[in-house]
Amino acid sequence: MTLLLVSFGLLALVLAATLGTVLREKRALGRLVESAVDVEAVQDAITRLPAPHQEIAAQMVEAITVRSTLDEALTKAVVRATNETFEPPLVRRLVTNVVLAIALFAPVSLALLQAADRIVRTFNDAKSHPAAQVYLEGQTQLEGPFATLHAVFFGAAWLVAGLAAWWALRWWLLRPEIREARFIRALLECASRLRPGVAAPVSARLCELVAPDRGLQRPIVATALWFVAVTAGWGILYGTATVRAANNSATVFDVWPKTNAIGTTEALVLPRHRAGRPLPTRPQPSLFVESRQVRFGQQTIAELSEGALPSTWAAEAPNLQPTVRSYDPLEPLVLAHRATVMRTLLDVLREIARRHAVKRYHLIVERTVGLPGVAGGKKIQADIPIALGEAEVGPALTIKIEDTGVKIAEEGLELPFSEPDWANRLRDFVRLRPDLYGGDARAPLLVRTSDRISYERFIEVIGAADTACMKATDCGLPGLGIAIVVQRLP
Amino acid sequence: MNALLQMVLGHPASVALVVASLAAMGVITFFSIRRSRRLSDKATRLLYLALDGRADEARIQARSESRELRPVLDALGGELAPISARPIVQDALAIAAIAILPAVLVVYALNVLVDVGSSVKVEAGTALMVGIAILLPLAMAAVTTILEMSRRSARDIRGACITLLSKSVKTTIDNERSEALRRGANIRDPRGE
Repeated sequence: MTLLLVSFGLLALVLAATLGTVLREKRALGRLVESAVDVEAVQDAITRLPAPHQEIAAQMVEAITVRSTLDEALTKAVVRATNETFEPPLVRRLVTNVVLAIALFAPVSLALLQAADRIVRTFNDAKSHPAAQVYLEGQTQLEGPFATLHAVFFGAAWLVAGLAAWWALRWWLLRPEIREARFIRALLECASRLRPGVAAPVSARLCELVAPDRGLQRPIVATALWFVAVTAGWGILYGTATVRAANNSATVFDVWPKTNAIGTTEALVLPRHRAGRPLPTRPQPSLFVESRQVRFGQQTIAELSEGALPSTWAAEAPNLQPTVRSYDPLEPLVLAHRATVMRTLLDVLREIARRHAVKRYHLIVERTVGLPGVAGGKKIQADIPIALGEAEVGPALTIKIEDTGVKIAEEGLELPFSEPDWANRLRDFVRLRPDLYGGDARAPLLVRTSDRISYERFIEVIGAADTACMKATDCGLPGLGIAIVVQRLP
Repeated sequence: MNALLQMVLGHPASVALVVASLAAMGVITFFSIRRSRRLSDKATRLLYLALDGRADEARIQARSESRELRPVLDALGGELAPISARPIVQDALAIAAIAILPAVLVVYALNVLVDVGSSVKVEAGTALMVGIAILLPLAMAAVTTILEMSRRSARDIRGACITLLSKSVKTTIDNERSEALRRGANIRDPRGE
């Protein structure tokens, strides 16, 4: 960014130099004309002219006053002026142009090189990270250089516009034909004041012919071409950049299975959230908590009455041992209706965990994510793993889900559900705690939940903590993979 | 920087494209400079020939030259008309060709990047960034060089034309005056002042 400012400074400098040259030249030529009543005063004024003009003006004045006719001297001066470049030597000018071009684009080049270097470093570092962390690590590492790159390109666009404006101004005020015309006009006025009343037909006719074209045709054509070129460049980039940032096409992370592993019924509407990761590949039994019954695979465990378990359900529940025997470790997939009351769900989970030593459950939620070759994305099932009871290691953070909101006591943070951005604030808070999701030895998040809330609300809270998406829409990224331990609030 | 270089070299096609673009830029710039210098030299040679009293020979030579030397031919013909602008088609083509070179790299690398089956996206991405970082300022430098040389040669051609034109104007005015004197018009010869 500093280099960009330097480039803008450089542009301002050449702009000021252009205007300064024009003003200096006009003043010097004006002085030449005003002093053309006295030969000594003219010679003094000539010494103040810019270098390319001095010799021509001096020779003309000398010729007029000493030996030649006015017309002859003036014609010679005009011809010499038209052969003058009014610019520094070619090599110096070429070197200046090349240096200026490189200096003006140096910020863009440097930002590109820095971003490329950071990509390579992040790519090499990512090899030592667990797969689930690669995106987050990469995003953190690359955010800065790419933000700089964006700002620098934005600045460079203004710089190029400024450059075009400077070129146009220079062409209008300082191109050799214009400087030549300005000089010839001053020579004519100077000569007519030195030798008043003398005709100069040859030089007058010649001046008519050499007058530069000051019509608007060429500037209009140049402007039109400029816009066509810029539009074409933009069109090429727009048409070819099917990358996410360029055309907002859906992001695709090729980690999701193409088909859902578990079929659901109308009586079972899963909660939706943009959290969770792909389901475990190892086969596990499914626990269905529907609106009217609880099933373990095909076996009905209990019938629900208005969403609640009968008081004797645990005693009447069938023996699941033959079903779960073949699973080691046993980590059931939990497919619960979104309106299920947490008391019912926690009772069922706790009872099964007690009977069969289940250490982990996989809560299944629905997401709509982009899949390679599938237009508009697809509804898939994702997994948020939880453990029940006590955490094996000390939790990094404890959150309480009460009926009216979420509380993080140790941080003094209260997030009432009535506030529209409570989920975003919880997400942002968890993001600031890499001890929850960074590296292999991550500490768990202890969630102490009220059993009066709905399962959908519960998923909303743990999903807000687990999500890797920064916007309201499903970005398709797997969740952070936080280890969640769930306890019931007394 | 070493890791970056290795990553860039991991996508040889992009590297080859950058090198080819640089070579093409060099060739286009070289030929543009050569063409501009040749035009300047030719205009000067034709002017010297005409000033040496061999205007007819100069005219014959100018006729066989490109359209860009047409103003010199007109001036050699004694035509008293404003000097026509030098055609800029060839310069515009050279500049367009240079501008297209980075665009080709961008299009190619983006196609690699959006190809789902591509396994060298990081290599292609870094090669694109490094390539653009090199090509963009050099393309700008090449364009300014071509424009500068083109303007210089246009200026030289214009200078040659005006030098020839001054002779034609003088001859025309002398002829007009002689004609007026022959017809007995009472005109004043300003050169006698």
